Amino acid sequence: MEGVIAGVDSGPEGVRLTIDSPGGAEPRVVLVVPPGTEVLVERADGATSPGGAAELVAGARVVARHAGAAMRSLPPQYHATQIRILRGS
Amino acid sequence: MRYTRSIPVAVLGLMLTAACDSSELVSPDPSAVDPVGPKVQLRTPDDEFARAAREEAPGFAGFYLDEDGTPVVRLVDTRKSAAAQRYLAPHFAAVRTGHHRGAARQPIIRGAAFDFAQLKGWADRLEPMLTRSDVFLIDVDERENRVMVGVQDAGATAAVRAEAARLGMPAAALHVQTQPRPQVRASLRDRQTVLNGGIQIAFGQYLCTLGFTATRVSTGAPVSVTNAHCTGTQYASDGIAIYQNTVAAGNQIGNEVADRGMWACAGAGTSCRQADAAYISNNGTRTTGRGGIARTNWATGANAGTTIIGEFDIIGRYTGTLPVGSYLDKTGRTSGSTYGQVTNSCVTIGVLRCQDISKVWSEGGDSGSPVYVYIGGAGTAENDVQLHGVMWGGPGTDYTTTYSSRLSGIEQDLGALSNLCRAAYGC
Repeated sequence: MEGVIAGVDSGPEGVRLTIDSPGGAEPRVVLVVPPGTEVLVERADGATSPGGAAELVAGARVVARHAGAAMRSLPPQYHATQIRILRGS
Repeated sequence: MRYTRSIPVAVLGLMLTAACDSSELVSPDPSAVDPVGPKVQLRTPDDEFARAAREEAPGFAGFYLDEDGTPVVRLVDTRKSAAAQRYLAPHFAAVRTGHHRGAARQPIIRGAAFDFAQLKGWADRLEPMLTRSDVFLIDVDERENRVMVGVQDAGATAAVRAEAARLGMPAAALHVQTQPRPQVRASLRDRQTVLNGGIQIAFGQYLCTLGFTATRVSTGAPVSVTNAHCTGTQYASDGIAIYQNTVAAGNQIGNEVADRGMWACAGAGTSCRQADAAYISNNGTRTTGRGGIARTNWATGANAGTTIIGEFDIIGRYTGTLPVGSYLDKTGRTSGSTYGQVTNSCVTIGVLRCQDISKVWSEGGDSGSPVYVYIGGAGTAENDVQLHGVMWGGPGTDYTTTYSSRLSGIEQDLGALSNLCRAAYGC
């Protein structure tokens, strides 16, 4: 899943990222990011380094892996398992 | 033309506006003012046809279009059709369009026992019967040349016939038929006065579906059941406000009162839940539709639409083992009443134990939908279902497949429920 972070909410279960993917099958989804989820920062040259929740900010472009099952609220919610923040691409 | 008083006045007004665009308001009497607004007389096309039968085309008894669009004119004296055909000429021209573009110009003339003014007069005099809750509609039936009255049952049939006899109406001029009670074509997404399963609920930025209503045995309090992820925090009770249909002042129906964290599960030693479910309190602002699930048209493998056409009646809990191949149904605010077969029974999906996977169509917003087994039957049993649980998800954007939690798992996680079924069924 790829898109741009449109909003960030923090709660007891972790961070919730609202992701906009215009033109995608689901134009807006929510990624639930439990504490401990792997966050990576990927530079334009493809090199990656560990990141953190502080880098999950509105406007960031992200690629996420998730648990597969969509929770069918509107917008749908997914449990993230890994998030890559794309920098300079 | 039909009249009914079994639906709200505002809706009736809309129906009349839509269905009778040739209606006109005549003779407004400024002195006749009631608390609602100025009283005016509504003139319908049937009033005009009755006038024509009295003044322009004696013996005219109405007209309709045959299957192929050919006009059929009913006349008391078929030898005197010239006046009626002159009067109806603009009507014939108006209907010879669209699907009936190629219809015959020459009308068929058929005899009739009663002219339109007689039938309209009798229909008007029967209209006070509509104040009864079991009399639904009155129609001057042009095709059958009689007054048709739609009623609930044999008791209402007898009452209408007795009134018609008292009015001196010939028996041949009246046809009374039983039919379902008229219902407003509301959407699952509309604001509802009654909380039934399948209708839209909202919290924060999210939309979901109300699963079903019940009583929480531990407290005796009424609750609604939906998904845990349809509350502020999945798998924790956070008291978040829940609304129906949208997050707006006056729409709150309650707060989350029961959710829980994980169990220490046997086997792999991991934590788990048995249902993606939460209980929502009832703040008393809406009526609880005990044992009711909103019903739309049916679909399998596709979105069924969201127009409400009736209610399913929960008559029991599903107590079977749900073998693969069984049919499940659901009603949700996005894709309506859909059904499909179980492909995997009692599956572990992530932290959720003993879930079911089925070919029930579901989309974003359907989370929390009641899942049930259709029983059906003759007559009023046609809407009978057994409650099985709530749906919560599916494999990404593959909407042909649905994951659901069982009622037994919901109760094991969050506590026993009662008053799930229609009152007569005691469950």
